[in-house]
Amino acid sequence: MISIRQLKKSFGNNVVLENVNVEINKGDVIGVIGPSGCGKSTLIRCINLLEAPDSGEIRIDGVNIAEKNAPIDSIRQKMGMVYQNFNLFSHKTVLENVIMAPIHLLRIPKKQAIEEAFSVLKMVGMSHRADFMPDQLSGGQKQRAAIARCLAMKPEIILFDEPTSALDPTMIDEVLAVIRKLVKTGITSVIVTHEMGFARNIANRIFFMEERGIYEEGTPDEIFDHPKREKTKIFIQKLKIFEYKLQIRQLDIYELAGKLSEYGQKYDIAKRQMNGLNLILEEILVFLSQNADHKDMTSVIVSYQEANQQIQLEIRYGSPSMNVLEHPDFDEISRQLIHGLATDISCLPGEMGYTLKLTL
Amino acid sequence: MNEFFEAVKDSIYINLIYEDRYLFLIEGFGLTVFMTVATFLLGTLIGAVFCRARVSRRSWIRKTVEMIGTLFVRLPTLVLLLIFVYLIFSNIEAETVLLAIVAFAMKTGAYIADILYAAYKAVNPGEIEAGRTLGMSRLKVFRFVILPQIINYALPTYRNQLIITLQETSLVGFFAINDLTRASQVITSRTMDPYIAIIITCVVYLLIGAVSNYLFKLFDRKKHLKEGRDYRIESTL
Repeated sequence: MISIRQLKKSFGNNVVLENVNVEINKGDVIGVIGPSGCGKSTLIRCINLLEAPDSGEIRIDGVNIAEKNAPIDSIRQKMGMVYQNFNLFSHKTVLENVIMAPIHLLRIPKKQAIEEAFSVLKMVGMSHRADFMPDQLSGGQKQRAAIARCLAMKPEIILFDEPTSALDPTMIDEVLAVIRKLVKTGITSVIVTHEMGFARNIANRIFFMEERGIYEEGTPDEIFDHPKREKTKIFIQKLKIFEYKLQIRQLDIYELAGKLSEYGQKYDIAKRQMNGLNLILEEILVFLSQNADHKDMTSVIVSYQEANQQIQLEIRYGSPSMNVLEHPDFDEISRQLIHGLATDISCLPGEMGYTLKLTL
Repeated sequence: MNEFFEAVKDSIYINLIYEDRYLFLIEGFGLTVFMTVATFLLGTLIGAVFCRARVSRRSWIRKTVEMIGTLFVRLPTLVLLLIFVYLIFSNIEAETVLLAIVAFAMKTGAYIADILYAAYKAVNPGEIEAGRTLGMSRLKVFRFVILPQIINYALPTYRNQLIITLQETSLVGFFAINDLTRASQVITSRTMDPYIAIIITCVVYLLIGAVSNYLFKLFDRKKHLKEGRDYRIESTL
């Protein structure tokens, strides 16, 4: 239904999308997620040519709309768009908003258009607000009216560009409920959203966007439970990464502690967890600094999962070439302390020699 | 008291009745109304064209039009009139009234272009996009989304512009064209009795203003009752 090949779009020198290839089938519900500024909105705006792509093909039912003189108006009639800022016609009532396009584009008689308008307004729960002006409505109501305006054209595809981002938390649910109901009718939709739970429940495919294109694609379970690529994981699990690299013989434990506490404050990590982290690091790094070879590099990677408030600690070191915690010289009390504070302790040969992993 | 009424009676006789001088005033009134309406219509047309040019995609068109607009706004109307009558069209046989209308229309057009441009900028660009994504052509979006909102936004200032144009037309007296102001002046110079003629002129100007205001309101109510802001206020009350 929608097929995108080699799409490229840039604003000035800023390349937003590059080499994007997408195939969207009839009945698909696509959830598009990703950090701000990754080109989610640009992609969806390219699909109905609100942004003209620099190069590449966008085929809607086989017609390449990226070509000059493509019959874009008639294609847009089959493709609805719902905006973050609603964009209702502010000089018209809700009903007039809904009937405008059917009357002037589909040439439906006014009476019939009004009847049809009421049936879509009923579907979004807005028939009792038909005679209101847009600025008399709440945000959620405006968005539902905008969805109704879209539906009145009986589109085959609906593009949602962050439909709940401009709404109060209290109004998000009413709009999501309407979209959910709509999607159940089998209409092809592409939904750009920051509501992860919603995207997961409603979509049959998820596009995670990053690095100027679709970085990872899969079913909701694949993307949300078993993300394969690094940046997807960081985004999905809301990882906050702290990295510190040092020559282990020149360990300055106070400098590290200072940087760590800065990091802890920035992401609002619990004091208790930070104290544990500091203790473990001190025990292990001090031991390493006394037992490692000269010029050995060591790196410390702390990643904090905001979603479940877990800290993962990774220490990569060159020597001694074994699990430090099982080193005969390692202090017994320290070992027990670490086992008390951390779980999932593992030590495997890795990049720099050995990698010790702990979870707090 | 009687003497006062006698004096007024004499004054009215000499200013209006004698030699049918009232006709002179009526003709002046007619000319003023004609010039105002013609200037305003032509000015609106020029303003619309200027405004369209100002949102053009080509920057040289935008800049040229902006420059011309600034020129017309900054030059005093009388100077503009002098330029038209004595410089540009000095060799061409043309009715001074028509030249004056064109000159006024240019000036009014420059102002109206500003008014329309400001109103256009007040339209939410998202609504234009929304119209386009529903599948409407540029023209349809303009007709059903942009134009009604421009009218809503521009109407109050546009109405004032009519009054300004009305007053500016009195400058044609400078070229011996007998509009309302000049007619009263001519009568005064004959009778050496300024009161009646000037008072009548004042009243007539005020009346024209009041009538135009009334007409605008009628238009505003009828056409935009549902679309205008009044509707919202009424329906929330």
